[in-house]
Amino acid sequence: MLELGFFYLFAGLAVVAALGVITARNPVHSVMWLIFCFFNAAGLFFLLDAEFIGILLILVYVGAVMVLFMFVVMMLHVNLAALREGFLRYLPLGGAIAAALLAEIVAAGFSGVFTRVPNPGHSGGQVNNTVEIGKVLYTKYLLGFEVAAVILLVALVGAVVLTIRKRKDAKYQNIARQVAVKPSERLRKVRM
Amino acid sequence: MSWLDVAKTGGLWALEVLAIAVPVALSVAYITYMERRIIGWMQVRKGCNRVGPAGLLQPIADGIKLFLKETIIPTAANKFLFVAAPVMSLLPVLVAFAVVPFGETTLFGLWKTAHVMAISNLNVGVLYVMAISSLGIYGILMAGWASNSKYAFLGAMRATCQMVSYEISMGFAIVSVLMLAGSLNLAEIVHAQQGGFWHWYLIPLFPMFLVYFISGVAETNRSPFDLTEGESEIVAGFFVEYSGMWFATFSLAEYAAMILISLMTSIMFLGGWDAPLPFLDFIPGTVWLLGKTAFLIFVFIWFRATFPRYRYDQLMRLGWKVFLPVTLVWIAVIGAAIYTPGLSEVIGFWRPGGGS
Amino acid sequence: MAAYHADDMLAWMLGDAGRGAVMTTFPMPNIAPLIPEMVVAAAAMAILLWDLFLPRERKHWSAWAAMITCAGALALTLKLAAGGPAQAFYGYFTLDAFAVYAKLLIYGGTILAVVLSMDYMKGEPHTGEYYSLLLFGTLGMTLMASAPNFVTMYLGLELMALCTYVLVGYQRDVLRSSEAALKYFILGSLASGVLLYGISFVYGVSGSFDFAAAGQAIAHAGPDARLAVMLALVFLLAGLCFKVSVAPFHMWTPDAYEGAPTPITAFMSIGPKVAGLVVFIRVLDDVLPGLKADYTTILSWLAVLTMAVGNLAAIGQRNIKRMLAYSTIGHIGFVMLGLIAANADGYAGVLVYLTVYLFMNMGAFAIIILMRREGIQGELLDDFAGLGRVRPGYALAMTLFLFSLAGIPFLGGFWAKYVVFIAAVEAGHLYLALIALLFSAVGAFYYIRVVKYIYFDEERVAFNFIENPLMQATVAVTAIAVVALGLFPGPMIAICKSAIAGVI
Repeated sequence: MLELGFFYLFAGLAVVAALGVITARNPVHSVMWLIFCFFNAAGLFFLLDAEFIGILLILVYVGAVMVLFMFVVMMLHVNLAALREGFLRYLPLGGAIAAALLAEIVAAGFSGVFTRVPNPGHSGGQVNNTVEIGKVLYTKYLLGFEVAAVILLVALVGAVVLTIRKRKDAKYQNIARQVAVKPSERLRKVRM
Repeated sequence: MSWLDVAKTGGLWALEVLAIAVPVALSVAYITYMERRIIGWMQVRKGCNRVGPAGLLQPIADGIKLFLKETIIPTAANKFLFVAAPVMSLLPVLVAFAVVPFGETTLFGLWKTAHVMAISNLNVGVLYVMAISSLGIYGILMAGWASNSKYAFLGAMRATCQMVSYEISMGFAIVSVLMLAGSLNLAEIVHAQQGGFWHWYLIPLFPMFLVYFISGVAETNRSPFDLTEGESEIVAGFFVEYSGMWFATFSLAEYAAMILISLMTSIMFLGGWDAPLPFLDFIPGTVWLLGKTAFLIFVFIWFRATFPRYRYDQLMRLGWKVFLPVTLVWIAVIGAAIYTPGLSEVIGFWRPGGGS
Repeated sequence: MAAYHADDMLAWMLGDAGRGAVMTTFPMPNIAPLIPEMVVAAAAMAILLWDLFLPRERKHWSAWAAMITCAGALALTLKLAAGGPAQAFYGYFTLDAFAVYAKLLIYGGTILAVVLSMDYMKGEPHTGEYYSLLLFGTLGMTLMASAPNFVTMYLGLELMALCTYVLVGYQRDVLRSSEAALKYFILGSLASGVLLYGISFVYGVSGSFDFAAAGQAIAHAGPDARLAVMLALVFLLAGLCFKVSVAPFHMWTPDAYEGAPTPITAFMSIGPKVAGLVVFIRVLDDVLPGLKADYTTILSWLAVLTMAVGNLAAIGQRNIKRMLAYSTIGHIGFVMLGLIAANADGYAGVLVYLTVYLFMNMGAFAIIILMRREGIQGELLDDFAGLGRVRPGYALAMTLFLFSLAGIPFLGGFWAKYVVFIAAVEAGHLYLALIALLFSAVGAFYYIRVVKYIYFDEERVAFNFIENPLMQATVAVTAIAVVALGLFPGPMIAICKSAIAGVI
């Protein structure tokens, strides 16, 4: 009963937060709503005894990804007026698509198909999520895990390739050369 | 569950929380005192010695002064975020203390088995601390942005880059600890190091200890990594517009974070509440833990008195080009050692269930 | 879910779930079939580092390294294939004849793309990253080709897609390149989301990511699961159709093709299509056999639409890259006949089509790159005017490629169309084959129009080509291949049929 209450609390707040993301007038507020939404999602994971994933959600998304999001949003002066210009014009189409998707998943959910897989129930704290996830991740899902790592590497390389610009007017330090400098290069004795 | 039970449990929780929060607040107050005295001595001057015997009441006086000061909210500031920011920076640090184990006790023989002295002995304690303490950045970011001042904003930007960069090497340093301890539970990590200082992770993970602690200094924006404040360039950084109690809240958060980092370093690398030599066991573990923590806090202050401030590009280089590779290499070294036949016995000495 | 239900394989390990440190010995999975992929991944990372130490005038060594890597990986794949079908990584990777043949095409496409890039990318910054990304993209495609389940498939797809997004936007100073990359990225992410949504429905119904197991569960799902299954079908098809640019999910193709550096356009027109169609075939054949009636209807309409959009829109194009983009869409429409036929002949037809397409399309792009000269991109149809008089060799080769693309008899392209059309007719889709024939004739118009420019128009710009023996060799090889496949299609068709034989 208490659990159900908490579920509705977290789920409800998550929906409210998600609505906040798209309706907030200030992009910084949008980001904060999103953070709040992540917290509620983490709460849902906790209810499922998946504390590892819940914590990871906070650590990775709230602790790192959203910080950078906020960073970018604060750096960019997003022109709100321009951003909202087409909002009403596209609302009917976007709203219709969203409604259709919602109706579909609700209808599919109510058909009872998804509940056929037995509910694993509570582990009662006997299972250490971290150990178990580690075990499957490094055995059964090893290939996927490694490929995901390659994808991240590619994302990294791609970001660097697309953005790096060596500016002509910037001054760069060459530490190796600084360290390897000899007195004779810096000091010249002149006969007076 | 009757109302009485609810009240009892609630009361107990409140007591537990207070038992952590009040000492933390007091420690913060007296660390400021300690800092001023120590830096004073290091610079061959007295430090604060007027208020009360040996200046011991100085922190109280400071607190009262800050409390009574007027809080100014700039006209162009985003009021809500401006007020929320200090709270947002203090709250995560305090919440993180919830899983820190301060020792083990049988409550003078009342309990048969030793209980871990933590509000919650969480299975994923290490991750919890990392996750929660990484939220502190929001306070700074929001303060910088909400102030609507360029110095504050620059300070916040610097802080963000810095904290995100150093969090990575910090995380990797923790990973190496986890590889040896085989647990994310802080109490388990301490258990894995019991039996004298030669069991502490300081020894096999010495580079990681350095990386973790130095990253911790950067993470708390303490000197020599206090570019966030950088008074010679950006006046006071993100809290330039703050005054009075809200300003004090930021200091409170900074010092509490310092305590937290010191505690975590003691727990993960210095054996937690383990006595350095087994025969010194008669001294309670908590004393050892707090002693180690106090020493590390002293080191924080020592750094401040000793090192000049880093330049920003050097700070970034240290994080990304020195610490990150070092941690990655050390993880590989530890991993290889665990799975190499000859070396696994050596490294097994520090692993629970292995060695002696 | 999977974490809770210990599989038999893992049961012995899950015995002790204690939280203390357990010296877990991880069983070494069977990795042998994955060795070529590992070589590619390792080489891609090595090139990334190696390139930093290469002096500016030797940057093309990275290209050679990438080419050698692909050739080596291809040789290794063929050597492994001799040992018969194999599984690796606990059934998350499969190496059957089908996958091997697809990889042959993928590696071939990458090698040709690298050859095309060598001259084009000279003097551009970050060449090491460029070739490294090409290799990573190839890795993604080969993983897709070998994917027996949704996990490997999706990860391979994302790897490939991410590389292509970056490569499309590689020339950051060129506005249309960045624009193309951005459009491609946003639409591609949306398509990935749609695909994932479909996969999640499949998983919800079947509780499995494995193609075969999910297919079993879907085939035996009761009527109450009908809605969820249909949603899974629709979203899966939409996601996959986007990746192989089937109309109406083709919007990104012309922009991406036009904006990308030409060698990347060539690369995108082969590898990703091969990988995407392999996945398409596996999904249709393994996951959705129970929904054959449904997907045949959907795919038939999409095929007609795709053929119409591709062939009609190509007529209006003045930029040859854009024209070839629409031509790709049109060809995908023809290829879909093989998918709709849904039998061994049809799927073999898809492989035949892709094989021929590899040569004729790569050859055409090689010519386009050769046309690039001082101040001219060589991409407008007008730029080809009078080529026949100045360079009869290039003109002849281009004519061959274009005729082959149009499906003129006794060139490779003719047999490609022939095989899929016959398969469709045999499977009872006569009307579809007729429509395809009609659009094929429409398509011939715009290909032959280029030939008209080449031979019958006066030259409007001075031609001063940069001679490049490697490129000329590429053109020669592809032209000979197109002719040879046209004259002796038998062996290729037989190989494709035997490659499919293991799957169906």
